[in-house]
Amino acid sequence: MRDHQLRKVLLIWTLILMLAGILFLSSPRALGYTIKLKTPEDNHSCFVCHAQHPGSEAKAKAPHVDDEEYGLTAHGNLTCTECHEGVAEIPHPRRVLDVNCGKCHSLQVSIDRDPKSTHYSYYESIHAKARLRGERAAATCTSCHGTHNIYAVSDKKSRTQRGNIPTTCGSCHKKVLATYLGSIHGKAWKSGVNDSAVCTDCHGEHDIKSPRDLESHVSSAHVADTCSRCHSNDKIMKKYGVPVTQAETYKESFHGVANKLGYKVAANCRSCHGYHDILPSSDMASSINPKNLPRTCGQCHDNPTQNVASGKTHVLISKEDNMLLFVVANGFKWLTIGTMLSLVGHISLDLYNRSRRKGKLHP
Amino acid sequence: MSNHTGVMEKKNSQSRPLLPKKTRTCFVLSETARAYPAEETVRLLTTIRAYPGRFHTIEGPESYEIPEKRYFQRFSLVFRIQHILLFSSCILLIATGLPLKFPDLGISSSFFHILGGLQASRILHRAGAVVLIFVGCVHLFYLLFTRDGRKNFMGFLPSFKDVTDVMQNVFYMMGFTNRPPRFDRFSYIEKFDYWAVYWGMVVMIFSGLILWFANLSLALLPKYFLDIAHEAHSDEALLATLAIIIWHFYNVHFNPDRFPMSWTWLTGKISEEEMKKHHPIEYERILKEEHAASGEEPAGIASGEESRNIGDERIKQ
Repeated sequence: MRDHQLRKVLLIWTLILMLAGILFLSSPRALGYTIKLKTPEDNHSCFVCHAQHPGSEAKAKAPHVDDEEYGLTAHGNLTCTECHEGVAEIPHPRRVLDVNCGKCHSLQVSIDRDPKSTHYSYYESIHAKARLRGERAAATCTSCHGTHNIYAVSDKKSRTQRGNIPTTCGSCHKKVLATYLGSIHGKAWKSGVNDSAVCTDCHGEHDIKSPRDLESHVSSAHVADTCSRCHSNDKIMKKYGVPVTQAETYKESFHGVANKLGYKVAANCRSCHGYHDILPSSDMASSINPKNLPRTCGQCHDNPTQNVASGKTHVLISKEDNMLLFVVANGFKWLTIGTMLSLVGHISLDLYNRSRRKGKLHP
Repeated sequence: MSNHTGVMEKKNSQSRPLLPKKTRTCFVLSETARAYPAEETVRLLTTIRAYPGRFHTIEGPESYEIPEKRYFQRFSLVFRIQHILLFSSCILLIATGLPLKFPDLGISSSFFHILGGLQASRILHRAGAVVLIFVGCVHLFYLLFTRDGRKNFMGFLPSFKDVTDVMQNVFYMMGFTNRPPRFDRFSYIEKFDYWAVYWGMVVMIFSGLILWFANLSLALLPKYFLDIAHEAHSDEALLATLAIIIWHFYNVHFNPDRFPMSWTWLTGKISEEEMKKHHPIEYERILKEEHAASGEEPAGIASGEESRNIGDERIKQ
């Protein structure tokens, strides 16, 4: 072969290779070339299909993500593949794995409890149990937190911010939301009182359990503690003129003691006050309005009369609440102290006398 | 046993006419458990050093005898049965009731756990209450309709002498005088015990019934009345429990004279020594009555009493 022939062949091959290279780079799909997704910058490649800008190449079938909003969320600096595991390159298979939030948020969703954490475990919640039974409607992480719009909980836009909780839970629990909005807590929440109880204050967050489950925050065993988190807090209650002794007086009453000792039938907060429909006693529709008390007590007690409304229910031993009770309680207190001091004094004197007169005790 | 009865016959021939036959017997260490009331058994075992002679009595038949003891019937059978029913029901009531007053203590919840929950303890508490109410009613009948009851009730009535007895006993215990007060059938200590129980029964039974039949009470009484009943029931329970554990247990159990306990609650009997020491006025009265019945002069005792009274007056001056 002559030299110029060889040069020609090489030139042609070089051109072919360059052309192939250009084709290769410009049309990866056609040639089966893949894009590796490793850094947040690589997210652009995902948004090529998944973002929804007007005039973008968004494919009709691909789920849409607002890429601008996503950049502002708590996870905005994460690679898409960080959550969408199994997608390491483009193109990706049609079916991708479900997102596993527990990969990072193991504290909230692990099966091991961390007693220091306020949220125990999603897997022990009634939502998770229903889901494991196969009910696809049961709430999972994204049902409450959202998907590509997860903000820090301090952010007003967060679905789990206090101001948005009832709306978030209410997206499934519609009837409860309607009842809640009629209650004093709901009314206060709606008018922007940030201290007012929202769903999670009573039910918990990740560890929401059935009220019949004794470990639930709203079970007969724990509901008094749950309510008292706010209702025994002087700072909060002072602002709204609500007394703070309700939980304390309940725990001292027979209802409270019996409840503490595991007698589940004994009345707890919600037996009398209701739960989603709690109203102050001044409200005519309230279950604890003096007019309605006989009916409320009548849920457990036979034929109660208007007598149940005479005198304070959460009664403190004080002059203001019940003068006679105050006198009786203090009378007994001082009677006991006085009697015991004299009896112990008498016994001590007797023992002193015996030791002093040892051997010549009896004249 | 033949030896034993022989001694008893010998004693019978010499005995004073006052002594009832069944209390007359002799002290033999090996026979003690069979021949003696429980009180003597325990006393013998716990105060052995005080009676060294008892060990030597085994030497020969003559020394089997020690000065015989006379016993007085202090409490009738009806009285003792009332006491047994009362304390059994009280133990049950305190055990099932006190944990309710202190529900925060771990021991309270474990107690209910063992017992089978509040429902079970509730039934037991009410069973105890039935017994207590029964004893209360029996006692009222006993006071009203039996001679024994009326006699005891008169003995229990507080008198001005109790006030002076308290003062004198305090002075005696502090060492200001060497004369202890002389008690009649019931000392102020026993009277306090009796009236504390009397008052406690009234408070506990009435407040307890109000709480037991809460639905009925609520139909008849305002709710704040139930609050008061609840408070009174709980406070009086604590007061009574403390009084029993501190005062009553000291006087009948832990007091060095009595330890481990006075057996009178079981036997109903009290020894002559104890009678002289703790109830001298009653003792002298009984002797006087007995002598009057037999037509003899209780010379020694009468003179002793006189001298004591003179001594008392001297101290008062």
